[in-house]
Amino acid sequence: MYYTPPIERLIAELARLPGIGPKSAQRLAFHIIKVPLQEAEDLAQAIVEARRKVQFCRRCFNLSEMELCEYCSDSRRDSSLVCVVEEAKDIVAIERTGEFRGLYHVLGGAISPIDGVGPEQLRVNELVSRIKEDKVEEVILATNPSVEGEATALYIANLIRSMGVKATRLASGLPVGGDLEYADEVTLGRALQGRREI
Amino acid sequence: MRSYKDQAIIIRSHKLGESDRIITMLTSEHGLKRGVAKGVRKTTSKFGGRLEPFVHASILFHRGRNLDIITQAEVINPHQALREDFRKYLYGEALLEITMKSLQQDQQIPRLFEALSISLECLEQEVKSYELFLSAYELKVCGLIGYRPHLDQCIRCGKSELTKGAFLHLEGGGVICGHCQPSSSGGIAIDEQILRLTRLLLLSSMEEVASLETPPARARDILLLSFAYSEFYLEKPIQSHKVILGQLPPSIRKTPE
Ligand SMILES: [Zn+2]
Ligand SMILES: [Zn+2]
Repeated sequence: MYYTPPIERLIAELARLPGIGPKSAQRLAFHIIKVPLQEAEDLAQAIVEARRKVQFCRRCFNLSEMELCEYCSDSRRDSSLVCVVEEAKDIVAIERTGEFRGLYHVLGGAISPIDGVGPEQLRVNELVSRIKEDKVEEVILATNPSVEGEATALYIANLIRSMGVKATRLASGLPVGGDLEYADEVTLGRALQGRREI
Repeated sequence: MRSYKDQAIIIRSHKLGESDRIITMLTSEHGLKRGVAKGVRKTTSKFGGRLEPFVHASILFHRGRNLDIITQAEVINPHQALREDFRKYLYGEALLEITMKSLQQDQQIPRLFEALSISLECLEQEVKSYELFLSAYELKVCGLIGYRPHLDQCIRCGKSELTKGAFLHLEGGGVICGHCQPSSSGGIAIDEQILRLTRLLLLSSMEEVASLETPPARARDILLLSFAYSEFYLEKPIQSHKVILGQLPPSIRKTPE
């Protein structure tokens, strides 16, 4: 590439972001140098501020401006009920349902041996010590309904059942509004297994 | 022809853009392939769980400029049991990774598809020793790519008497006797029982391997030996090896040399 050094550097930095290849990085860089200076400064400032101010909640590893996140510091929430999720962004999806009044635990991913991610690479030990210390009674495993998410839920369920704590799994299955005849076999099979009495 | 059909076993996938995925799979006729599945991450996708790891599917491809596009997928065998048992999942992932790393993109190796397909099916059934099962698969795959380990006699002097202790010689692709290899020069020591059992793994079908048993410490030693051998010949680190070693029962866990 033969761009002037500041653009070269911007492209190189952008290309380090996940999901951004060299071509997208180039496109974004050219967009950025065309916007008004104020807009570019706002972007740069937002990046630095987020990085400086946001930390992991020391109890649940949600993203937070404080040592304890907004859920962990809310005394009206039920601390005996913990919902385990892969990423902090999953908390937003669950909060949106308005159905859950317990606390969370963010694993930081799912067990994926082919990517070198085992239980040690996730916050599983932290979950175990939390269960002991905070008198947790039920753990809801809300990992993704993917092969990796299912395996992670199985692993944690085995672990905490031996501690005498109840483990439950979200009834995963057919997407709402989906037609049964268009459901694929794997999802349908999973939905049948996850069926509950009504 | 713009479209073609093939059977595939899904190995892994990567997110692409907002809702697509790049799927890596071993196909029956076209070797190791990567294809794009559009819209697969939307809950309304017609693909749903059909393109998840372990699924054996019949796939319709449309030739693309860069990567081919997956336009249809029908499940032949979901290998459901590998999703319902953590240990089967763990060892199943290792089978997938070894298979993927034994090939270059678009490379086809005869009998590899069949080997993976049969092995996944066996893994769904009862397996007596997961360590032996994975060891056998790794050594067999090394054989399929042209590096079957020589275990019958010393690779240097040709003597079949290996009772006085032997070593695995990675560069030489087999065992070397205690006379030819001064023990000070390293190498993985192999006793007679390990040698006999490892030979048996190579001679047995995966179905037969699934019913073999041995004391846990010996199974672990064979596993470490197979890991060293496969990583040497595939010339790549195998990520799932670390995870598997971390999940061995505490009584036999040890760090590999
Ligand atoms: Zn928190
Ligand atoms: Zn010799």
